[in-house]
Amino acid sequence: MSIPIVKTVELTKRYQRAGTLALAGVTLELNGQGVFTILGRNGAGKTTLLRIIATQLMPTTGQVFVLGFDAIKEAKMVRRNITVMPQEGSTLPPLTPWDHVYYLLRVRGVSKSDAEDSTLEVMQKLDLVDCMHVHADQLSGGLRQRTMVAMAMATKARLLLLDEPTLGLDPLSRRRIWKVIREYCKTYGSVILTTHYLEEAEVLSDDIVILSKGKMIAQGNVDALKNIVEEKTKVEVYEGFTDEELQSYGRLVVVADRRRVLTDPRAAQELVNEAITRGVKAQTSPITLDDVFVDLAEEES
Amino acid sequence: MGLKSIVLLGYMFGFLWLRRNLLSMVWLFSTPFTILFLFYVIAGESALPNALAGAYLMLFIGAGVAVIGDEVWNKHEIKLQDILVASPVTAFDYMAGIAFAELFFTSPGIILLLIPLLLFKMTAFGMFTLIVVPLITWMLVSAIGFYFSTYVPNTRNGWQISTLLNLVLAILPPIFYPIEVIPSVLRPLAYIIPTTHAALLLKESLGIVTLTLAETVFSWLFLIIFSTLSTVLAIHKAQWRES
Repeated sequence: MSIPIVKTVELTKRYQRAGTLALAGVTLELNGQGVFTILGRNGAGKTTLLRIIATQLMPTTGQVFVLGFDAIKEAKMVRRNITVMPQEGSTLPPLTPWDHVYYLLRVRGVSKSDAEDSTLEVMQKLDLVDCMHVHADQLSGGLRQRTMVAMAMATKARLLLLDEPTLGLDPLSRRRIWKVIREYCKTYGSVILTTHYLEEAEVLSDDIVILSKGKMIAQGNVDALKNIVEEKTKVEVYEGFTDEELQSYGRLVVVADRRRVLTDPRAAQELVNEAITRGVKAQTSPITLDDVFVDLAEEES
Repeated sequence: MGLKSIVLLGYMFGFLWLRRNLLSMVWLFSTPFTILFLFYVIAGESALPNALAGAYLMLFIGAGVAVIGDEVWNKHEIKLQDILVASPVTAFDYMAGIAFAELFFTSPGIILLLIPLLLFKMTAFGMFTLIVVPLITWMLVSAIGFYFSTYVPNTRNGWQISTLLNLVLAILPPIFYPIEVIPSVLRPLAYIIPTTHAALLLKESLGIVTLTLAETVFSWLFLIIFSTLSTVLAIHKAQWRES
């Protein structure tokens, strides 16, 4: 049996100064080569978990193994095989995207010619060639974010840890990064990322871990997670129905100003037909990861 | 990696930055030269040798203290330290690399001050002292700076600690002025500050003060032991991986 990419056993993390318990006994195993996504609301413990895996932060109790190495006792071995893109990181203002990627590779011990080749390759993949010699303080936020992603990807590490890599990017740039992440997995190694974008998690992930209040509440691929929710169809309704009426068609979930009815396909069709009769808008579709996430988060709270 | 990583980090954070942002040089220059100017204006020409030696030493102390600001910024603002922690780069490589980078910013000032200092009559050992003592001081202060930077919770505290450290290591001790000026009851306090010994050795090499052999040996030992301990402290006790 192959070695898990990451294995944690009863992992806890308590921040002494804030007095908060960020992780409350997380036991998980990520296997095979692929994209693993850690999902959760703000403060769920995603970044804490990622930073412990990345050997940046010590856990309070528990064990962590990364690529078969004990991340607490063998941090040096882990660090040789991983690379990280931190959340809300930024670039050095007078340095160019080329400088960031090239010198990071050189500092990591990559030879001059290999560093040059890898830098150019990643610049092309992330569409940074046109601005690769422009100072970072003259780049847009999106280009700086892509430079950060490039710094991580150019290392060709066995495990890439990306903390919200597409935060603040436009939809096209996000899709480009998704493509590059998928390619990375096929060629070099695995990627663990955190994100708030459920669509991103659904498109990219081979395996998803959902955290809530420092605990793992679900793990599996997209299909397995969708199976957690009994109903397979949803209808989004904006107006024209009372809550009681909607509840008669299925389970009502209220998210901000939107009301969703989770139900079976037949009842969904009946609700849509009724909406048409009443002249109000209603949309039906199969359930998405978003519905699973909302359902699990609601259950937890 | 080791030396190669240190040089590359220094080049990246120091030379490249300075080449494209000359303004960065000004602040490290400004304080020592301002104090030198004030001593000259207020105390006259007789204060100049002490003040010249003080300004020269303060540039190295400043380079070490600046490590705090840059490392706190790298850690809390741009998160570059996080990237390096999760890489084969060691805490020592990083500390030495950033410390090396700071020397680029102070090097024009060092060259400017070396010109008048080389006009002093010096022995070969004096010349050695003029080069080596400031470098040991830079290493020592950089190590202290790195140690503090890893515990500082935010950028603003980083600026505050570096200002305080500059005060304790460069402004208050007898760097710019003779130690005899300090009341004898306070003098032991000055002697526990390592930069006092660096200043004494430097001034002796320039013929500004006279030290007995025992005093010279004591100051050298104090400086070497203190810098070794601070480097060991930085490597083993700094919070490279957060707890």
